[in-house]
Amino acid sequence: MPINTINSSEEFKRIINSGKPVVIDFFAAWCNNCRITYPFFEEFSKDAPGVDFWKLDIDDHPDVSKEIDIKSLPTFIFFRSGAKVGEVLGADPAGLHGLIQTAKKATA
Amino acid sequence: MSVIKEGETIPEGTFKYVPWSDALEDNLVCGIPVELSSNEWKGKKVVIVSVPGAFTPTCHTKHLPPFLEKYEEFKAKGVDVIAVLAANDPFVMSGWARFEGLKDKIIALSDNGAQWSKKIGLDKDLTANGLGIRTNRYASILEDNVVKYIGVETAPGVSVSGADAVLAAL
Repeated sequence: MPINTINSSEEFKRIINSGKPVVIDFFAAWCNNCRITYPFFEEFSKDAPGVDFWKLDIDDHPDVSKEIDIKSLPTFIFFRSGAKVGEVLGADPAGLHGLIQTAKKATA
Repeated sequence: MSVIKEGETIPEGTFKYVPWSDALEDNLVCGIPVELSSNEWKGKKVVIVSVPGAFTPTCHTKHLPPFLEKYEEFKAKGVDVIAVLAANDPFVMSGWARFEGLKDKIIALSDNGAQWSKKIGLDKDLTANGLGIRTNRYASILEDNVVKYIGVETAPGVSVSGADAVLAAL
């Protein structure tokens, strides 16, 4: 699926409570580590049908960023039923791959 | 604006900075600047070291390092917070902090446009040196936001604003 941007905190709440496993990329436009890692996020997402992938710009949504307590970027979080199940920080493609595989297993 | 004196309370200031986290260590994450208010220093013993510029020669080699080296001595004297301050933006301050290995020992604060330092009479026009408006070279000890010591350098080099001078005043 193409990776869409979350546009509001209401949308964010709806997405993480959808019941499906969801992996979200929390990023900022000025963050080079986010830019480096994004192609991996896109690529890995193709191998995980059943998992929803989204991205959220923390500068556009500081309220969500604060609620989730995002401290560094990029932060990738695997949510299920409104709860955070797993997290990967930084330009760590291997770690991100592992997180997405974990989310994929949750679709079974 | 005249220089703040011992016994006076500092005006309120807010500074942006990137808090330390272990994730920053290998440069694989970008830290997010947050705001710190001087109100958080109420009831605490704080040492402020102000330098004209991150990475600039004296600040980088002579002024800041001794504060890190003598960190335990400052802690032993009851200092709660050591902060290095400059007019550079919080991203530059964070980069400098990582370069110097400050981690969570010394916080590197951005005094935007030297606006807070100006309120206490300690901004400095270094436009002729290619730096613009900066913070002066000084060090201060605050207790409950009251100035207990203020050492302002009047000549090149580090003396009254250095780690030894501050430790002696604690």
